[in-house]
Amino acid sequence: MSLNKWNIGTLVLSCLPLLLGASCATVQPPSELLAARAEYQKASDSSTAKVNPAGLHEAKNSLDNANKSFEQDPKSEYTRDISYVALRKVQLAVAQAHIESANLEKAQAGLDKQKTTEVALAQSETRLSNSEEQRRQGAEQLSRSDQALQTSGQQLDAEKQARQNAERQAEEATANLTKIALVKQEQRGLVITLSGSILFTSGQSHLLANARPKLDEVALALQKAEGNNFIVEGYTDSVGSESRNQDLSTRRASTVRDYLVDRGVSSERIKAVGFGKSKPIAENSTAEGRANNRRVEIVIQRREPTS
Amino acid sequence: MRAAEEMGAAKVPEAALELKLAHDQTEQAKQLLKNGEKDRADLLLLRAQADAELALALAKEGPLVADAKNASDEVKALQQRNQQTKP
Repeated sequence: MSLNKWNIGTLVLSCLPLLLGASCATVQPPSELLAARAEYQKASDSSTAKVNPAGLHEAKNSLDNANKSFEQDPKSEYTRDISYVALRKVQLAVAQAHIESANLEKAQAGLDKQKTTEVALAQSETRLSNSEEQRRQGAEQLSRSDQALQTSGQQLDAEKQARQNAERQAEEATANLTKIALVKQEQRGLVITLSGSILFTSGQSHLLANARPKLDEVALALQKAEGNNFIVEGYTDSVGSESRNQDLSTRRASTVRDYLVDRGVSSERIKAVGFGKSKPIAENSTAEGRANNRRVEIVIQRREPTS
Repeated sequence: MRAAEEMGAAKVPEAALELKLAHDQTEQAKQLLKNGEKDRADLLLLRAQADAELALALAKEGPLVADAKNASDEVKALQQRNQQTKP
């Protein structure tokens, strides 16, 4: 900090009526003394007074000596020189205060840096922990998905095996049935048609003795068709009244149903329906056609596709 | 003066100026001593000493204040980054 910096302060302060002794009332103080006074005042009002009180006190002693010398010998070189020294002492006190403040700031920054680094480390550990937890949850989810997939695959295999078994059994049953009855695959399912003449006496609903072995074969086939529902449908020819034919076809269907249930077919899966002379499959004008129309059809219904 | 020079006063403009004043006044004092003006020489040496002490302090002050500011700025940047990356 050069003396030139103090020239403006010197000019301003030189106009002020300072508290000077009588001997210097008419003598202008040297610029060094004016600058020292101004600088001291400024330093006293700043943080220097708090940070470096000892340095400022030393500067004050130096300034007091300069003021005293000015009172005694205002124009002397000595007064000028010790005023210069006083100014430097004040400036030194300010610089030392700055050094002390900078040291404190630097030390505080070091502490803050350590604390901030610890916070950053803790945050990093938290993020790491969160990531680990997410990874663990992801792994668990993956494991559950794998297990579910495996179970699903096993179920699928079991269903596939069951379906193959059912198809094989149905094929076997169909093959056996073709020996005793007409077997057709229709939209509603597999239809086993038995002629009424081999099952019943004309106009009756009691089973003939020869009919039983045939129905035993049918019962065996139905038992193999596990999981399917069955309908026993009775039909007549057009001879006779509507009501009589309806009643006869219903009784015959029920008789067949009851026999099949006796032979082990689940009663919950089989029902009987009479259709009378409706739905003929041949002309009723000929004896052969009427014989074909007198029949019992056993429908093995298609299974509902599993979802 | 030697302490101020070793502290790097030449690199701090304000300290360098004080150091030059100290050198100049010391040279003047030597000349006065040669001329037998001991009292005046003593006063000049007193001024030179004050200048040298101030030069030393200024040589320390400049870099130290800059260091402290850098350290504070670094901490502020770290704190700001912590705030931004808070989980």
